[in-house]
Amino acid sequence: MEVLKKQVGLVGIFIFISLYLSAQPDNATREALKKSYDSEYQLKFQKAIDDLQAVYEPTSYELNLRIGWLSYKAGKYTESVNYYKKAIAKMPLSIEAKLGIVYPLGALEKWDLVVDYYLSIIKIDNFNAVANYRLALIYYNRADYGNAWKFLKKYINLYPFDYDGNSLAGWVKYSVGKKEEAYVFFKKALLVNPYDTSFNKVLGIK
Amino acid sequence: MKNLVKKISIVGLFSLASLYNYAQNDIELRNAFKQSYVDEYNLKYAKAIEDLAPFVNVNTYEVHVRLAWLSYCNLKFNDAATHYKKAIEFSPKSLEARMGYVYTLASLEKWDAVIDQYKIILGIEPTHAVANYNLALIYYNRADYKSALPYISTYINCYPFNFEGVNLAGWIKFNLGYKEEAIAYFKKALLLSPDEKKYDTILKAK
Repeated sequence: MEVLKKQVGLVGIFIFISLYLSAQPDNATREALKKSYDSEYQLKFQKAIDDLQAVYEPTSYELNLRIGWLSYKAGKYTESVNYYKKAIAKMPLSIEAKLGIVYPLGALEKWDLVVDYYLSIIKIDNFNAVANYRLALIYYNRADYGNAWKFLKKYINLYPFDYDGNSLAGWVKYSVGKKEEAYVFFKKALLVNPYDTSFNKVLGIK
Repeated sequence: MKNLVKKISIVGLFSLASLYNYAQNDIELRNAFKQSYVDEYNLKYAKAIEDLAPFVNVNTYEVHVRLAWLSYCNLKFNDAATHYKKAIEFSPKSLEARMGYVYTLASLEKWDAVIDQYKIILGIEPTHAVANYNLALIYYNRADYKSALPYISTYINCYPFNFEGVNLAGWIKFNLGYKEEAIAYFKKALLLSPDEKKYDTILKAK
């Protein structure tokens, strides 16, 4: 009986130690993230990255996403892209990670890659508002009005009373010579923002 | 020849007058919107609605969506619902109008109608973040965890490191009896909000 008690006691201690040890990485990561949030709040972005180094795991979606963001805020764009890529490799359907990676890529002026990531978002979420609007804007800035309209028309159908959408739609139509259609969009944009003067010349407003 | 010149002049004058009237209407409508924004900013919602009253019969999407929003702010939920419905008739795919409409329906506690609208939104954009999350939340609050699951799964796939998402996913899994999966979600939630206490009992009991 005494031997049995001893064995039960040993098993109990073993289970307790195992549970304690298995909980440690969770607690350590949580504590590290807590510190990192505090550092970020104080705009100490490098410190916020350093806070996570001791618990960093290359396969962790959460840590790669977090360090991707912090590296971007710290102005380390190449590192940021690398961390975001690891997060995306872990969770290929993550829209939040793809919407994150486009910021450092934009800062690095790698616009073709920015386009690729927005297109990959659209494959997951065909009507994603941010991806459609920004693709339209990039193509507009490249004077590729056909592609700009392809994405913008999806955006404008879902958000017909949005200033940015109507303004851009107006300029796309205007650029391809469809002036009457452009005016309709400009006039809608003016209903959202009556103080805007950027269409005055085109609309003949004095 | 004299008759022809006279006719052309009349047509010309008529066209000019039409254009002038059209432009005049635009200006009046724009000024009404402008004034309504000022009144809205000052929280004078009834006044903001009055500003647009002369245009209530101008059946446009923009007028109805604006009147709907202002009526909602003015707590006139039935009026808001009427205007949102009209706006949706003009632009059936408008997600901005449908999102506005669901807030109104929720205020009227017409939850079945809210569900219907969210499902229509998902028919347009199946991965729409707000619609998926809110549908999951409504079903969770009805203790219909099986119905909540597909919506939160879609949301969590696209936004894996979002506190609200992983928190709700955890509670849905927990209530379906998938405790290990629930705990994994709660741990993710704790990475986003390390001071959160509401999982303590469950995580300690593990």
